[in-house]
Amino acid sequence: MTDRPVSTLSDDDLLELLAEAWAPAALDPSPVSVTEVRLAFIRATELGTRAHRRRLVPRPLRGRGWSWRARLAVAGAAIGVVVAGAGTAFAAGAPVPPPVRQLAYDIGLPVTPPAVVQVQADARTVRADLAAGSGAGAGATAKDAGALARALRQLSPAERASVTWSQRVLARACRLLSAEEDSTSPPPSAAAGGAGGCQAFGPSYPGVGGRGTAPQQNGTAGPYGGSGSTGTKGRGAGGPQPGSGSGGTANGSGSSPGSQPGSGRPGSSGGGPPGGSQPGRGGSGNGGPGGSAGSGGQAGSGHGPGSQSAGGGSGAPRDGPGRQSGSAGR
Amino acid sequence: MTFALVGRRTRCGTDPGESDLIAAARSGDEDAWEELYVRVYPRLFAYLAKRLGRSEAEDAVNETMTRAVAGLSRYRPGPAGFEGWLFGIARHVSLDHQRRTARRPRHAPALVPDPPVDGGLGDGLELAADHLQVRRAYEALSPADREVLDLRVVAGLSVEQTAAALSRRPGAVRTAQSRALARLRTLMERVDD
Repeated sequence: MTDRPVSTLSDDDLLELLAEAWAPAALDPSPVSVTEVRLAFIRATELGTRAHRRRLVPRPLRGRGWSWRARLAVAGAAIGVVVAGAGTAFAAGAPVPPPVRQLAYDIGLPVTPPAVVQVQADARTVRADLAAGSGAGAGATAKDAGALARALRQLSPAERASVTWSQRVLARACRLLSAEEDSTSPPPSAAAGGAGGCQAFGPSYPGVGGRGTAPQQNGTAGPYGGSGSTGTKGRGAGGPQPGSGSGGTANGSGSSPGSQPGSGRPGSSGGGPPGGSQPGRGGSGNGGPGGSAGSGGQAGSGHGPGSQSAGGGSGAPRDGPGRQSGSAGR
Repeated sequence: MTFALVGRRTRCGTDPGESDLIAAARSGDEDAWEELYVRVYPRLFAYLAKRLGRSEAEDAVNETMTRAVAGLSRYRPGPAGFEGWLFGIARHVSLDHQRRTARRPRHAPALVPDPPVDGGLGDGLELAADHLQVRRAYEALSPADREVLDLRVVAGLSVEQTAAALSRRPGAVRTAQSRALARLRTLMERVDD
């Protein structure tokens, strides 16, 4: 113990003096206080444990799906990529990848429709085949021309009007193939009627009909079908959406678009000349687009493959609009 | 007037075993938490009683411990130790309490000294007189000065622990402490005169 005046006390001495003055009593917490603290501890640890358990327990699978925000973000990013990609390609003049073009077209961007681009590509191929002459081979040309005809059928009238040069290419191919067939085989046989000439790549495209041996008389073409041309070789063509009509006096009924099977009845006699876009003699099986097979008529006397081959036989299953391909006509 | 200095060391640093108790409490050991509570209770109660009055101190202690256990996972051992963190909570509890009761008259701190722990009757009376004089001078300090000295003297924290409790730098605490003691010294001399 030291007796010193206040002014001589250092800070440490003063702190010690204060500590003595405010020295806490030797207290112990009351049992009630201890109990309360323990209860608070138990509650807190219980809550903490539950929270910890919640963190450990995996969330249910259904809760793991993307939130709508994430989906929106991804969709926005995808659209952004498409727009940016299409815009960049358009600006650079580079070809837009087909998926990007399709997506851009679907969302309404001003890009050339993918179907039109496909037609242009197919037409370029056919034109190359034609330019190559016999080097390309009739089979390859027919195959490419068929692809072009199928692509053309997918277009709307407005789109088709924008690719008239493609139609001209297809017509050239058709003429070339017909000429080659004429030079290599006499009048088309039944088999040739089904596969020869433009029939190979689709008989019912405008202006690209099959050959007929006689001008079409009564047959009427479908909406896109041309009428049989005059001359010794009709070039009528059925449309991709076949119209109705009866060929000559045959009993074969015309087809109608749709899925109903075409019907054909046996033709006993045929008065109308075969060819053109409509069946000649005999009932012709026919069907609408995507329709099932028509029942066959019996053989008539139709002759020559047209865009819708004439003759008896059963209609084959249809695989596209306006495609009517009966079996060989006679 | 002269003052008798009795050797008493303020508690600084981390008590042995404190870190083990904290680790055990974090793992859910109630006994460890109770041990920590019993250890700190006298100083915690004295600190809160000094700031709020004895009648409010018990509730304030419980609230402090409740907040502490709720935030025990956020406690990070450091130079200030567990007590620096705990007295920081206690300080906030007292401030919240003072805000709630701001319109009510504040409880006057007890100036009656605690009974001496040891010493004879004569020494005890002398100490009590000295302590009463010191306490009166102490209560004349500004609230800012008392806030620092409460933690340093009443709670018995080190400079680092006080800095942690006040969310200040240790240097700032030393400066504030030095100024507060200088003012206290002046006040004590005035009382002496």
